[in-house]
Amino acid sequence: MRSRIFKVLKEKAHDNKKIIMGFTIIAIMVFIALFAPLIAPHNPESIDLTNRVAAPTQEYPLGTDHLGRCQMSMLVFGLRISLVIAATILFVRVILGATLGLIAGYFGGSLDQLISRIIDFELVFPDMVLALVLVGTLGPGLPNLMLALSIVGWSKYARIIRSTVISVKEKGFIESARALGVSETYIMQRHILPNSITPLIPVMTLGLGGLLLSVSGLSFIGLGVEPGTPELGMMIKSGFEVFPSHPQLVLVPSLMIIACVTGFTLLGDGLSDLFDPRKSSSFIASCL
Amino acid sequence: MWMLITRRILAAILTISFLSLFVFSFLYLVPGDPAERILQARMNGELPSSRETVGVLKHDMGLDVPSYVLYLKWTEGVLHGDLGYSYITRRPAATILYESLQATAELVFVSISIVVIFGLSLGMLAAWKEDSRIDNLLSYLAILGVSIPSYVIAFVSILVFAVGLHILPVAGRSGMQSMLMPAVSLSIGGLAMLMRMTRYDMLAEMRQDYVLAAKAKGLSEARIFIKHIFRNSLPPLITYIGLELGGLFSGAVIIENVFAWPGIGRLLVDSVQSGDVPMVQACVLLIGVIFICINIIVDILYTYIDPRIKPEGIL
Repeated sequence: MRSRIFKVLKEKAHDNKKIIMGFTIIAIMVFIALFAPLIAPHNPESIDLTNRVAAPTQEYPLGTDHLGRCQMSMLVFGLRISLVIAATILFVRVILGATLGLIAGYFGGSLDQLISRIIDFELVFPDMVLALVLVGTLGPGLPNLMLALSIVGWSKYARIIRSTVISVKEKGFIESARALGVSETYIMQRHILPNSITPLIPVMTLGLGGLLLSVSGLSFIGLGVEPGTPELGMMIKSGFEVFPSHPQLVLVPSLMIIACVTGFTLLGDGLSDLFDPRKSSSFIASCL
Repeated sequence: MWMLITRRILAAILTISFLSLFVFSFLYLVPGDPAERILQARMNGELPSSRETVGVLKHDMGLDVPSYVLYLKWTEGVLHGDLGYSYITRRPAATILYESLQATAELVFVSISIVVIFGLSLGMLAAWKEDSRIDNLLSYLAILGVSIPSYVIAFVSILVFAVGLHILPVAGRSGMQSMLMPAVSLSIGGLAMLMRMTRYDMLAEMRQDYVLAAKAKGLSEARIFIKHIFRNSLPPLITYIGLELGGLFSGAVIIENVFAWPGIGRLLVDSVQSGDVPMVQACVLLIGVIFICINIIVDILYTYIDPRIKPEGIL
């Protein structure tokens, strides 16, 4: 399966500008995030009140914020933390959605009915409002933020997996496997799941971009990470306190978020063109 | 048609009951005795200091009962418009909610108008001029538009129009001028998305056989484009506009906080931060009901525009 995906990618990716641009941006971001401790000139959390909102110097390439923290280091570590948070939440969502979608699609019947109703209910509510309410009830902070965003937003993955599973399970090779006496769990793990994963890839890519927006948005309104954490949304929030006299403190982390999300959107968009060029637009709209 | 509407409304009642259970369960998610919370809300936010008085009051008000009875009582109150009292301001939650709803509705109405007018027309332009320079430019602008957080647009517009040029107020709600920046910041994302979708759907529709037939019949390009292609690509777009209307309510949560706009989003965040449970319940219930109503309207419109479609679902 994996080799097939790569083959398609190799054949077609070189003439898809969106994929190349998106991939390049993301590669740079991931590189920065991975080597953050080597790139950052200072400790992102060390406060120096004698050197507040300083202009860029050789020592502080992007200047300092209103607490004298090195803006460059915060940006680099902020990117790392934001990406890790978003990727973790995405992982949980996909696992949750894929499991429920797989069960619903494979077994059908009343189990499918029940799960589909839950999916419909979840789809109606915007992730942001549900997450906001959950964070509000559980209290602000990173663990609660991650929990809240993980238990919402899985329904689109469940829906995609469910519909692909339904189409895959009617294929001849599944029938043959069952005739050979292979167990249901084995068929699901070995045959159904790998064949249903491909349509998820563009959705996941777009979803990661959307998550970066949600995480930073929640941090920005004060319901995300603890104050002082070098996370992009939190940097914007603390920059907002001295806005608009020092706009760079808000604009630089904002640019970082825009670059990241644009990267994921370009890549996701390109990939969905690649996998299924005739895909309906509403499908893509539901991904972000 | 009437069958469909009745079925939709019945289904909506089911969903709303689901929602009310969810909202009611907030009482159990926060620390403390739920019955005492209800009591506290009825008593204008203050509990009597002695435990015995609390016990007696609970008994008098019929709050010392199992949770399902409590739920039914709470629902009864909600149906009579009694959403409890805010712990913080001690005013009826329904009143506060009504005031905020007006502010948010104004903002959302202006935003959705911007989204629909510009989204549809730019999308049509891109489809009409497929693969031209303007189409390419629009498609990259759309990707950027989807990727920019709304609050960043808000910051930049504050910097330019309020701080730099002094032509618009920085924040607050005072007439049309103060509405401009929040509404534009809120609508960019949805606008970009609608534009992309309009383009996609119209291009897909253009490849249909009937377009060729219409051309062969000698109809003018413009007439085919507007009367046939555009009309036939409307149903999915209407669904999206409905979804986006809901999306604007959640987007408003952030934008209202940037511009100090006194709407539901700001109320929700403030209530969440101050642990004002009745207010949070009221906001979530209202947003939920709005969503469900939008969904019903979209579904009915959908069948009206394209009678071939018979939607299935519960919401």
